[in-house]
Amino acid sequence: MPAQLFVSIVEIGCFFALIALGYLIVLYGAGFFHFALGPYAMFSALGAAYWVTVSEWPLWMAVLAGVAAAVGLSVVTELLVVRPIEKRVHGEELPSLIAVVATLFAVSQAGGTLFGRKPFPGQPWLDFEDPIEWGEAVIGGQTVIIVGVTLAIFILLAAWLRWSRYGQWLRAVGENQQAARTLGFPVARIRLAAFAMGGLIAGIAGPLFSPKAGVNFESGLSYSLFGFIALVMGGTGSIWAPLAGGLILAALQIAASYLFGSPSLNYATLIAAALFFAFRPEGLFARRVRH
Amino acid sequence: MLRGGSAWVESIVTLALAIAAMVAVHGSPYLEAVALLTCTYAFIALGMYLPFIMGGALSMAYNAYLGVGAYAMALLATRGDWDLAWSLPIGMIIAAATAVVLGFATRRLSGFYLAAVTLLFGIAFTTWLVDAESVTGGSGGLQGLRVPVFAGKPLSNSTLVMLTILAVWIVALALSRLRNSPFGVAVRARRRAAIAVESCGIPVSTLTLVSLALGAAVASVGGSLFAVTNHAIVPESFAVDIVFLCIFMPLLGGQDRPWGAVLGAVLVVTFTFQLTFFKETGSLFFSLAVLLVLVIAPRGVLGYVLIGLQKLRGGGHAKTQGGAARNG
Amino acid sequence: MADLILECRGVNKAYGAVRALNDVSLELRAGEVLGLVGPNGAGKTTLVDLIGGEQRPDSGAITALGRPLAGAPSRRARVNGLARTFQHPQVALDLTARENMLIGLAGPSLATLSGQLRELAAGILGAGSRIQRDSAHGEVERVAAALGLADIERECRELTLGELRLVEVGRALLTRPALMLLDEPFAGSDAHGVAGIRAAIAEILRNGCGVILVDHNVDIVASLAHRIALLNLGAKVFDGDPKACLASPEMQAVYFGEREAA
Repeated sequence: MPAQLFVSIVEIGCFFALIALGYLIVLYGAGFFHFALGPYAMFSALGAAYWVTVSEWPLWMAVLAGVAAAVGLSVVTELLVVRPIEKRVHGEELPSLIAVVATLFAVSQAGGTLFGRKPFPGQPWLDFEDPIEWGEAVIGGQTVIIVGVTLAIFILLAAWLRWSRYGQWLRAVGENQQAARTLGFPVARIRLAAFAMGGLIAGIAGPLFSPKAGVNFESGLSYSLFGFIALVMGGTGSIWAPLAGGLILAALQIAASYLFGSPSLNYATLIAAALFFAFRPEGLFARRVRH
Repeated sequence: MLRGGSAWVESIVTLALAIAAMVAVHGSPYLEAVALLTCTYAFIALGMYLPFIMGGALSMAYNAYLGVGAYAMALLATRGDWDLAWSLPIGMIIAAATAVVLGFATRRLSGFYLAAVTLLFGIAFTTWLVDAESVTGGSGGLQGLRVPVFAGKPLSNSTLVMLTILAVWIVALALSRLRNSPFGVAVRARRRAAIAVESCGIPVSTLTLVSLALGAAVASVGGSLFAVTNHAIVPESFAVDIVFLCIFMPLLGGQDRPWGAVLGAVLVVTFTFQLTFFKETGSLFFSLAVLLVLVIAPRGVLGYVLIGLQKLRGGGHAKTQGGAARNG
Repeated sequence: MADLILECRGVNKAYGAVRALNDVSLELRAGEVLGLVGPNGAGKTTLVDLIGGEQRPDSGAITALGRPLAGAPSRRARVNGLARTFQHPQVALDLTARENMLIGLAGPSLATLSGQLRELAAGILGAGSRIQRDSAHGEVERVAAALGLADIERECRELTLGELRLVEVGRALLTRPALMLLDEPFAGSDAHGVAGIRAAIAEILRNGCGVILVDHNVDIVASLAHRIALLNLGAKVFDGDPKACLASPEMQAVYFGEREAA
């Protein structure tokens, strides 16, 4: 396989890993699969591209605004959609699932309405005039940024979970909200922090990766879906598991495309997902259950 | 169980509405086109009703069932020489078989996992439509579809419209009766008390597969109708986003009765195609409306209409007839 | 002597290193109420799961109505003549009490694919449903009345916990079991709820079943059961008359710790 494809695997893998990380944080803090993270990433990327291209903002401002929008959307989703519904149905999973799917759709449509339905190219954060050559592969500036930012986010998040107050609480709450509440944890605030953090990660991931592949208002669905698959493959046992899952999924997709043509990307993902769900739904790094 | 009296009322009132619709659109090609589009969506929404609204299984592969119905109809009836009376059931059977295979493969999955895998299947299906050029015509789709023959005679547009409105009425009525039948009660119990159903000796996995198969068959009729009313079909029409509309129509229209799914189809067509104020933003307003319904008014439009009617009738002993109230 | 409905012989079950059941044997005959008591971790839940078919024993035999039961999943357990209620009532809250109970009656007709398809067709056509024909005899209403359940056209979300438990019992009764397993039916119940279960047990016995009654509340169980089996740490330490059990040194040891003989 050409060396350049390995570079693509790393880039795409990092993107999936970040979305999966967002899922993991919300899962820790609220016991919920935040299916709408993909559109948040899309909204941030599309918005940033729009503001740079059409409104002629400087890049840093556009990206910051995109990230802020993603955080805002995530927080609003928790406060106005997920929390009221979970309160009403006490434990049935289906209504929350439907609601987050509706949110996914609504945010995608909002992006299309606000920023238009045409695809936008992303704006690179860093452009090398002489890209680095590594063997037969060429590594551009944005690639370095993608890897660097991804690792930085993972490291910072691992530290936050280990040493900050909210981070520690997040790990403790997990799926057992009732028990946490009885023990006196401020569950509402922890949930909010988790959703905000998820939105933050997705909001950064979007504009980070869009220079590589462009973005349009419908991208959010596959971001959400592939991020979820990456999460399941990696497992929930470690903060680094999403990174493994993201890289594996990216490798799978790129290998399939290279070997069998681009349609097989979707076939391969379907088969791999079905196999993982059937035989190893806890992923590669399973969460050790404490009795 | 639905008492005999109210069952008759339901049949007559809805039949009257169906006939009124037929009369209203007769003679106007534009309105007839709108009616056909609404009926297409109605079949899709009704296809969702049994497995999803009643049974609580969210399978998101519905674009595949639509596509199967459409391509089967296109290949057999409107480009081949088959009579519609044959090609329609064939599409339904293939769609049902697809649903059974997918349902069997995902029988141990639920919730987010089921949604994710079925969504992937839907995406893979659209990819296959483009990929399998020799069968499906690839990204160009199938063109030159002509009016099919039904029972030996070519179908005029007005006849088609009347037949489809009637067909929607029949399917919705059948689902309404099914809902109150013992089979329907078992399916509805599956949603929140699957353990109980199992403990009474009823294999829940079989129940789910049967519902999925029937739902897929109904949805495929919508696809077939789509092929009949257009002169060409392309893979884009069966992309996965249509699944969202499928889910939202019965929710917005109202979960208590299958008629809510039909109402939802009317609302979708109105929001996204009719109201020029909305234009391109119709889908956005529609999705926001769905969110509003989910959070604040889970019974949907029809649900609150029914509540209003009961209050008018004087509340008292009237109860929600086996209704699925406040379930979100 | 009445028919032997259930027999457990030398049943063992371990989860990893933890021995949940250690060589447990017991019998149940028709018309008998067997109380199963013991502190948390005694093995009551495990034994219930084994009898109900949700788990298999590691060794030993469980026979129901003379046929071996080992390893039957819950559905096949029903075919073996067992029905159970759950600690947390498994009831579809958006359906009426009548509809929930109907599921018990519907079991045999919906047990196979062909049965389901037949009922599907019958449901659409409005005729030909075996379940409707059976329920037309008023079976559901009769059982509900016998259990003291009023107005079964109410949606279950409007019912009290005690009434939900009765709905579960009614549904289980309609499956015409030989053995009823009541799992912690008194948890969270008030006096009214307890009276309801008392009446339910009387009705169950009238139907010729045997009952296994599992609960933490030893006093109530003792007042309802013909015999009590006391479990502790996976072993059966007492099997006999309820009053004798309450006064026994084994009961003292299990619940109050070892004491010197008075």
